[in-house]
Amino acid sequence: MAVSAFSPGIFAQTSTHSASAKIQNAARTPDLSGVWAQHPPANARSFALYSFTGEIPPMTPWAEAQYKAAKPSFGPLAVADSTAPVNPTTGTDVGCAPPGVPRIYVHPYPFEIFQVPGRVIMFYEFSHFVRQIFTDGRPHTPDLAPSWMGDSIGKWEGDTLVIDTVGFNDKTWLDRGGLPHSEDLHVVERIRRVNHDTLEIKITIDDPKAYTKTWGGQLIFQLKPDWNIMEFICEDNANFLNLQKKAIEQPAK
Amino acid sequence: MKIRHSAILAAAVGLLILVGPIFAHHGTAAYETTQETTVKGTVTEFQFINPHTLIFLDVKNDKGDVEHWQVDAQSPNQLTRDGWNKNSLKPGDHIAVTGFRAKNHSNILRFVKVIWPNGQEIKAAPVF
Repeated sequence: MAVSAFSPGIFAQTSTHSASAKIQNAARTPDLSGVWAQHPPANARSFALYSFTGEIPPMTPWAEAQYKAAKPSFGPLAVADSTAPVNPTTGTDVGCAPPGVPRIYVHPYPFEIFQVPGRVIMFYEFSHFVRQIFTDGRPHTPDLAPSWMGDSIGKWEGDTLVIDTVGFNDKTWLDRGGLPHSEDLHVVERIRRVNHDTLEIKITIDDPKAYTKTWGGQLIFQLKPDWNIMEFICEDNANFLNLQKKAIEQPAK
Repeated sequence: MKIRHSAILAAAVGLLILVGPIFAHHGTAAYETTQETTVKGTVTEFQFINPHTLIFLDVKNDKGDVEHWQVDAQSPNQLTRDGWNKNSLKPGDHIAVTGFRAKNHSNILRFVKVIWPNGQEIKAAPVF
Protein backbone atom coordinates (compact mmCIF):
# COMPACT_ATOMS: atom_id res chain seq x y z
CA MET A 1 0.00 0.00 0.00
CA ALA A 2 1.44 3.36 -1.04
CA VAL A 3 0.81 5.02 2.28
CA SER A 4 3.15 2.59 4.06
CA ALA A 5 6.09 4.10 2.20
CA PHE A 6 5.70 7.15 4.37
CA SER A 7 5.16 5.31 7.61
CA PRO A 8 7.17 6.30 10.68
CA GLY A 9 9.10 3.04 10.48
CA ILE A 10 10.70 3.93 7.14
CA PHE A 11 11.69 7.38 8.37
CA ALA A 12 13.15 5.86 11.52
CA GLN A 13 15.80 4.04 9.52
CA THR A 14 17.29 7.21 8.10
CA SER A 15 16.45 9.95 10.59
CA THR A 16 17.87 10.95 13.89
CA HIS A 17 16.30 9.37 16.92
CA SER A 18 14.74 12.68 17.86
CA ALA A 19 13.11 13.24 14.49
CA SER A 20 11.75 9.72 14.26
CA ALA A 21 10.42 9.96 17.79
CA LYS A 22 8.56 13.11 16.87
CA ILE A 23 7.09 11.49 13.80
CA GLN A 24 6.04 8.37 15.66
CA ASN A 25 4.59 10.55 18.39
CA ALA A 26 2.63 12.48 15.78
CA ALA A 27 1.34 9.22 14.34
CA ARG A 28 -0.08 8.24 17.71
CA THR A 29 -1.88 11.52 18.37
CA PRO A 30 -5.66 11.66 18.13
CA ASP A 31 -6.99 12.53 14.69
CA LEU A 32 -8.71 15.93 14.68
CA SER A 33 -8.30 16.46 10.95
CA GLY A 34 -11.21 17.46 8.75
CA VAL A 35 -13.46 20.38 7.87
CA TRP A 36 -15.46 21.57 10.87
CA ALA A 37 -18.40 23.98 11.03
CA GLN A 38 -20.07 25.45 14.08
CA HIS A 39 -22.96 23.36 15.37
CA PRO A 40 -23.92 24.71 18.77
CA PRO A 41 -26.37 22.99 21.10
CA ALA A 42 -29.80 24.61 21.34
CA ASN A 43 -28.97 26.47 24.55
CA ALA A 44 -26.04 28.24 22.85
CA ARG A 45 -27.68 29.25 19.58
CA SER A 46 -28.74 32.69 20.78
CA PHE A 47 -25.12 33.77 21.02
CA ALA A 48 -23.01 31.24 19.11
CA LEU A 49 -22.80 33.44 16.03
CA TYR A 50 -21.10 36.20 17.91
CA SER A 51 -19.56 34.71 21.02
CA PHE A 52 -18.46 31.62 22.90
CA THR A 53 -20.32 32.77 26.00
CA GLY A 54 -23.79 34.12 26.67
CA GLU A 55 -22.67 36.02 29.73
CA ILE A 56 -20.79 39.24 30.19
CA PRO A 57 -17.62 38.36 32.10
CA PRO A 58 -16.55 40.52 35.09
CA MET A 59 -14.46 43.37 33.73
CA THR A 60 -11.95 45.76 35.14
CA PRO A 61 -12.82 49.48 34.85
CA TRP A 62 -10.39 49.68 31.91
CA ALA A 63 -12.17 46.90 30.03
CA GLU A 64 -15.61 48.22 30.91
CA ALA A 65 -14.78 51.56 29.33
CA GLN A 66 -13.57 49.76 26.21
CA TYR A 67 -16.70 47.64 26.09
CA LYS A 68 -19.08 50.59 26.47
CA ALA A 69 -17.30 52.42 23.66
CA ALA A 70 -17.55 49.43 21.32
CA LYS A 71 -20.02 49.54 18.43
CA PRO A 72 -20.32 45.90 17.36
CA SER A 73 -22.77 44.56 14.81
CA PHE A 74 -23.80 41.63 17.03
CA GLY A 75 -24.72 41.00 20.63
CA PRO A 76 -26.27 43.20 23.33
CA LEU A 77 -24.55 46.33 21.99
CA ALA A 78 -25.38 45.71 18.31
CA VAL A 79 -25.84 48.80 16.15
CA ALA A 80 -26.42 49.22 12.43
CA ASP A 81 -23.43 51.49 11.93
CA SER A 82 -20.90 49.23 13.54
CA THR A 83 -17.28 50.24 13.80
CA ALA A 84 -16.16 46.69 14.48
CA PRO A 85 -12.45 46.22 13.80
CA VAL A 86 -13.38 43.35 11.50
CA ASN A 87 -16.28 43.80 9.08
CA PRO A 88 -17.48 47.25 10.09
CA THR A 89 -20.56 48.53 8.32
CA THR A 90 -19.77 52.22 8.13
CA GLY A 91 -16.05 52.58 8.63
CA THR A 92 -13.95 54.10 5.94
CA ASP A 93 -11.92 50.92 5.74
CA VAL A 94 -13.24 47.56 4.65
CA GLY A 95 -11.95 46.05 7.87
CA CYS A 96 -9.92 43.04 6.87
CA ALA A 97 -7.64 42.80 9.87
CA PRO A 98 -7.35 39.31 11.33
CA PRO A 99 -10.07 38.78 13.93
CA GLY A 100 -7.80 37.23 16.56
CA VAL A 101 -8.51 34.24 18.76
CA PRO A 102 -11.09 33.09 19.75
CA ARG A 103 -13.14 35.50 17.62
CA ILE A 104 -12.06 33.69 14.44
CA TYR A 105 -14.27 30.73 15.46
CA VAL A 106 -17.51 32.72 15.66
CA HIS A 107 -17.47 33.89 12.09
CA PRO A 108 -19.91 31.66 10.24
CA TYR A 109 -17.38 29.86 8.10
CA PRO A 110 -15.78 26.46 8.55
CA PHE A 111 -12.16 25.68 9.22
CA GLU A 112 -9.97 22.68 8.46
CA ILE A 113 -7.46 21.01 10.75
CA PHE A 114 -4.33 19.45 9.31
CA GLN A 115 -1.93 17.47 11.43
CA VAL A 116 1.68 17.16 10.41
CA PRO A 117 4.64 16.07 12.52
CA GLY A 118 5.37 18.72 15.09
CA ARG A 119 2.51 21.00 14.09
CA VAL A 120 -1.23 21.30 13.89
CA ILE A 121 -2.39 23.65 11.13
CA MET A 122 -5.72 25.41 11.46
CA PHE A 123 -6.93 26.75 8.15
CA TYR A 124 -9.93 29.06 8.44
CA GLU A 125 -12.19 29.76 5.49
CA PHE A 126 -12.73 33.28 6.84
CA SER A 127 -10.11 35.23 4.87
CA HIS A 128 -7.99 32.05 4.74
CA PHE A 129 -6.23 32.87 7.96
CA VAL A 130 -3.85 30.14 9.12
CA ARG A 131 -2.63 29.30 12.60
CA GLN A 132 0.35 27.10 13.23
CA ILE A 133 0.19 25.26 16.54
CA PHE A 134 3.66 23.96 17.33
CA THR A 135 3.43 20.61 19.13
CA ASP A 136 7.13 19.72 19.04
CA GLY A 137 7.77 20.78 22.60
CA ARG A 138 9.16 24.24 21.91
CA PRO A 139 8.30 27.07 24.29
CA HIS A 140 6.64 30.32 23.22
CA THR A 141 8.82 32.50 21.07
CA PRO A 142 10.37 34.99 23.50
CA ASP A 143 10.08 38.73 23.03
CA LEU A 144 7.79 38.39 20.05
CA ALA A 145 6.11 41.57 18.87
CA PRO A 146 2.36 41.58 19.56
CA SER A 147 0.47 39.92 16.72
CA TRP A 148 -3.13 39.56 15.55
CA MET A 149 -3.43 35.80 16.00
CA GLY A 150 -0.83 35.30 18.73
CA ASP A 151 1.93 32.75 19.24
CA SER A 152 0.57 29.23 19.73
CA ILE A 153 2.13 26.10 21.13
CA GLY A 154 0.26 22.88 21.80
CA LYS A 155 0.52 19.60 23.64
CA TRP A 156 -1.59 16.49 23.81
CA GLU A 157 -3.27 15.53 27.07
CA GLY A 158 -4.86 12.17 26.30
CA ASP A 159 -7.44 12.77 23.59
CA THR A 160 -7.26 16.56 23.98
CA LEU A 161 -5.09 19.05 22.13
CA VAL A 162 -4.28 21.88 24.53
CA ILE A 163 -3.30 25.07 22.72
CA ASP A 164 -1.64 27.87 24.66
CA THR A 165 -1.58 31.24 22.90
CA VAL A 166 -0.03 34.54 24.00
CA GLY A 167 1.58 37.48 22.24
CA PHE A 168 -1.59 39.17 21.00
CA ASN A 169 -1.94 42.81 20.12
CA ASP A 170 -4.94 44.61 21.65
CA LYS A 171 -6.59 45.62 18.37
CA THR A 172 -9.15 42.83 18.22
CA TRP A 173 -12.16 41.81 20.27
CA LEU A 174 -12.55 38.40 21.85
CA ASP A 175 -15.85 37.97 20.07
CA ARG A 176 -18.10 39.80 17.62
CA GLY A 177 -20.06 41.41 20.47
CA GLY A 178 -17.25 43.73 21.48
CA LEU A 179 -15.58 42.00 24.46
CA PRO A 180 -12.19 43.70 24.73
CA HIS A 181 -8.78 42.37 25.71
CA SER A 182 -5.31 43.71 26.37
CA GLU A 183 -1.89 42.61 25.19
CA ASP A 184 -1.73 40.48 28.33
CA LEU A 185 -4.34 38.13 26.87
CA HIS A 186 -3.60 34.44 27.40
CA VAL A 187 -5.94 32.02 25.63
CA VAL A 188 -6.08 28.29 26.26
CA GLU A 189 -8.06 26.11 23.88
CA ARG A 190 -8.79 22.50 24.78
CA ILE A 191 -9.83 20.71 21.60
CA ARG A 192 -11.32 17.23 21.73
CA ARG A 193 -13.20 15.03 19.33
CA VAL A 194 -16.24 14.10 21.42
CA ASN A 195 -17.23 11.55 18.80
CA HIS A 196 -16.39 11.01 15.14
CA ASP A 197 -18.55 13.88 13.94
CA THR A 198 -18.26 16.33 16.85
CA LEU A 199 -15.43 18.61 17.91
CA GLU A 200 -15.49 20.46 21.21
CA ILE A 201 -13.34 23.50 21.90
CA LYS A 202 -13.22 24.71 25.49
CA ILE A 203 -11.82 28.22 25.74
CA THR A 204 -10.24 29.83 28.78
CA ILE A 205 -9.52 33.57 28.87
CA ASP A 206 -6.95 34.97 31.26
CA ASP A 207 -6.31 38.71 30.97
CA PRO A 208 -5.89 40.43 34.35
CA LYS A 209 -5.80 43.89 32.81
CA ALA A 210 -9.27 43.34 31.32
CA TYR A 211 -11.04 40.77 33.51
CA THR A 212 -11.15 40.29 37.25
CA LYS A 213 -11.02 36.51 37.00
CA THR A 214 -10.26 33.74 34.54
CA TRP A 215 -13.35 32.82 32.57
CA GLY A 216 -14.32 31.05 29.37
CA GLY A 217 -16.81 29.20 27.28
CA GLN A 218 -17.03 26.51 24.68
CA LEU A 219 -17.93 25.93 21.06
CA ILE A 220 -19.16 22.79 19.32
CA PHE A 221 -18.34 21.97 15.69
CA GLN A 222 -19.65 19.33 13.32
CA LEU A 223 -17.56 17.37 10.84
CA LYS A 224 -18.40 18.26 7.23
CA PRO A 225 -16.84 15.43 5.21
CA ASP A 226 -18.27 16.69 1.92
CA TRP A 227 -17.18 20.32 2.29
CA ASN A 228 -14.09 21.95 0.90
CA ILE A 229 -12.68 25.17 2.25
CA MET A 230 -13.76 27.73 -0.33
CA GLU A 231 -12.40 31.12 -1.27
CA PHE A 232 -13.42 33.97 0.97
CA ILE A 233 -11.57 37.20 0.44
CA CYS A 234 -12.30 39.92 2.95
CA GLU A 235 -11.69 42.78 0.53
CA ASP A 236 -14.89 41.73 -1.24
CA ASN A 237 -16.66 43.22 1.77
CA ALA A 238 -16.63 46.49 -0.15
CA ASN A 239 -19.59 45.10 -2.08
CA PHE A 240 -21.50 44.69 1.14
CA LEU A 241 -20.54 48.06 2.57
CA ASN A 242 -21.93 49.89 -0.43
CA LEU A 243 -25.28 48.20 0.06
CA GLN A 244 -25.28 48.54 3.82
CA LYS A 245 -24.71 52.29 3.61
CA LYS A 246 -27.87 52.58 1.52
CA ALA A 247 -29.73 50.53 4.10
CA ILE A 248 -28.77 52.71 7.05
CA GLU A 249 -28.48 56.20 5.60
CA GLN A 250 -31.27 58.59 6.39
CA PRO A 251 -33.73 58.93 3.51
CA ALA A 252 -33.68 62.24 1.61
CA LYS A 253 -36.28 64.74 2.82
CA MET B 1 -48.87 49.59 8.70
CA LYS B 2 -50.11 50.99 5.45
CA ILE B 3 -49.13 48.92 2.47
CA ARG B 4 -47.64 51.34 -0.02
CA HIS B 5 -47.49 49.14 -3.06
CA SER B 6 -49.78 46.45 -4.33
CA ALA B 7 -46.77 44.34 -5.12
CA ILE B 8 -45.54 44.43 -1.55
CA LEU B 9 -47.12 42.00 0.81
CA ALA B 10 -46.06 42.69 4.33
CA ALA B 11 -46.93 40.27 7.06
CA ALA B 12 -46.07 40.49 10.71
CA VAL B 13 -44.84 37.13 11.80
CA GLY B 14 -43.70 37.85 15.32
CA LEU B 15 -40.29 36.95 16.54
CA LEU B 16 -38.33 34.98 14.00
CA ILE B 17 -35.90 32.82 15.84
CA LEU B 18 -33.88 32.01 12.75
CA VAL B 19 -32.86 35.60 12.15
CA GLY B 20 -29.47 35.24 13.73
CA PRO B 21 -28.44 31.93 12.22
CA ILE B 22 -29.55 32.92 8.72
CA PHE B 23 -27.80 36.28 8.69
CA ALA B 24 -24.60 35.26 10.19
CA HIS B 25 -21.91 37.24 8.55
CA HIS B 26 -22.94 40.81 9.10
CA GLY B 27 -25.37 42.07 11.69
CA THR B 28 -29.02 42.80 11.07
CA ALA B 29 -29.47 45.94 13.14
CA ALA B 30 -30.28 47.95 10.00
CA TYR B 31 -33.25 45.71 9.17
CA GLU B 32 -36.76 45.28 10.50
CA THR B 33 -36.31 41.67 11.56
CA THR B 34 -39.64 41.18 13.29
CA GLN B 35 -41.63 41.65 10.10
CA GLU B 36 -41.27 39.94 6.76
CA THR B 37 -41.84 41.80 3.51
CA THR B 38 -42.45 40.11 0.17
CA VAL B 39 -41.86 41.79 -3.20
CA LYS B 40 -42.74 40.33 -6.60
CA GLY B 41 -40.74 41.28 -9.62
CA THR B 42 -38.35 40.43 -12.39
CA VAL B 43 -34.74 39.56 -11.76
CA THR B 44 -32.42 42.01 -13.51
CA GLU B 45 -29.17 40.73 -12.06
CA PHE B 46 -27.87 38.08 -9.67
CA GLN B 47 -24.41 38.78 -8.28
CA PHE B 48 -22.93 35.62 -6.79
CA ILE B 49 -20.27 37.47 -4.83
CA ASN B 50 -18.75 37.62 -1.39
CA PRO B 51 -19.52 38.43 1.28
CA HIS B 52 -23.22 38.44 0.43
CA THR B 53 -24.92 37.56 -2.83
CA LEU B 54 -27.12 40.28 -4.30
CA ILE B 55 -30.39 39.89 -6.16
CA PHE B 56 -31.58 42.89 -8.17
CA LEU B 57 -35.30 43.07 -8.92
CA ASP B 58 -37.55 45.39 -10.88
CA VAL B 59 -40.85 45.70 -9.07
CA LYS B 60 -43.92 47.51 -10.40
CA ASN B 61 -45.70 49.57 -7.80
CA ASP B 62 -49.42 50.24 -7.76
CA LYS B 63 -48.96 53.29 -9.98
CA GLY B 64 -47.31 51.17 -12.61
CA ASP B 65 -43.91 52.67 -11.99
CA VAL B 66 -40.90 50.38 -11.82
CA GLU B 67 -38.96 50.39 -8.57
CA HIS B 68 -35.49 48.93 -8.26
CA TRP B 69 -34.99 46.61 -5.29
CA GLN B 70 -31.85 45.00 -3.96
CA VAL B 71 -31.89 41.81 -1.94
CA ASP B 72 -28.99 41.04 0.31
CA ALA B 73 -28.59 37.27 0.61
CA GLN B 74 -26.14 34.82 2.13
CA SER B 75 -22.56 34.39 1.04
CA PRO B 76 -21.91 32.33 -2.09
CA ASN B 77 -20.04 29.83 0.06
CA GLN B 78 -23.07 29.30 2.26
CA LEU B 79 -25.48 29.14 -0.70
CA THR B 80 -23.21 26.76 -2.64
CA ARG B 81 -23.24 24.33 0.26
CA ASP B 82 -27.04 24.54 0.13
CA GLY B 83 -27.14 23.63 -3.57
CA TRP B 84 -27.22 27.07 -5.15
CA ASN B 85 -24.90 28.25 -7.91
CA LYS B 86 -24.35 31.41 -9.92
CA ASN B 87 -27.16 30.40 -12.33
CA SER B 88 -29.78 29.72 -9.67
CA LEU B 89 -31.39 33.03 -10.61
CA LYS B 90 -31.24 34.57 -14.07
CA PRO B 91 -32.26 37.93 -15.50
CA GLY B 92 -35.89 37.72 -16.58
CA ASP B 93 -36.92 35.25 -13.89
CA HIS B 94 -40.24 36.23 -12.34
CA ILE B 95 -39.99 35.61 -8.63
CA ALA B 96 -41.16 36.80 -5.28
CA VAL B 97 -38.61 37.40 -2.57
CA THR B 98 -39.36 37.46 1.12
CA GLY B 99 -37.03 39.24 3.48
CA PHE B 100 -36.60 41.94 6.06
CA ARG B 101 -36.78 45.51 4.82
CA ALA B 102 -34.26 48.16 5.77
CA LYS B 103 -35.52 50.24 8.69
CA ASN B 104 -34.96 53.39 6.66
CA HIS B 105 -37.55 52.07 4.13
CA SER B 106 -35.14 52.02 1.25
CA ASN B 107 -35.85 49.30 -1.29
CA ILE B 108 -33.47 46.83 0.29
CA LEU B 109 -34.31 43.43 1.76
CA ARG B 110 -32.34 40.95 3.81
CA PHE B 111 -33.09 37.63 2.15
CA VAL B 112 -35.29 34.96 3.69
CA LYS B 113 -36.60 33.01 0.68
CA VAL B 114 -37.40 33.03 -3.02
CA ILE B 115 -40.83 31.96 -4.19
CA TRP B 116 -41.30 30.89 -7.79
CA PRO B 117 -44.56 31.40 -9.69
CA ASN B 118 -45.43 27.71 -9.24
CA GLY B 119 -45.20 28.13 -5.49
CA GLN B 120 -41.86 26.42 -5.11
CA GLU B 121 -39.77 28.04 -2.42
CA ILE B 122 -36.03 28.19 -2.05
CA LYS B 123 -34.87 29.11 1.38
CA ALA B 124 -31.30 29.63 2.34
CA ALA B 125 -30.34 27.10 4.95
CA PRO B 126 -29.46 28.45 8.35
CA VAL B 127 -25.79 28.32 9.18
CA PHE B 128 -26.66 25.73 11.82
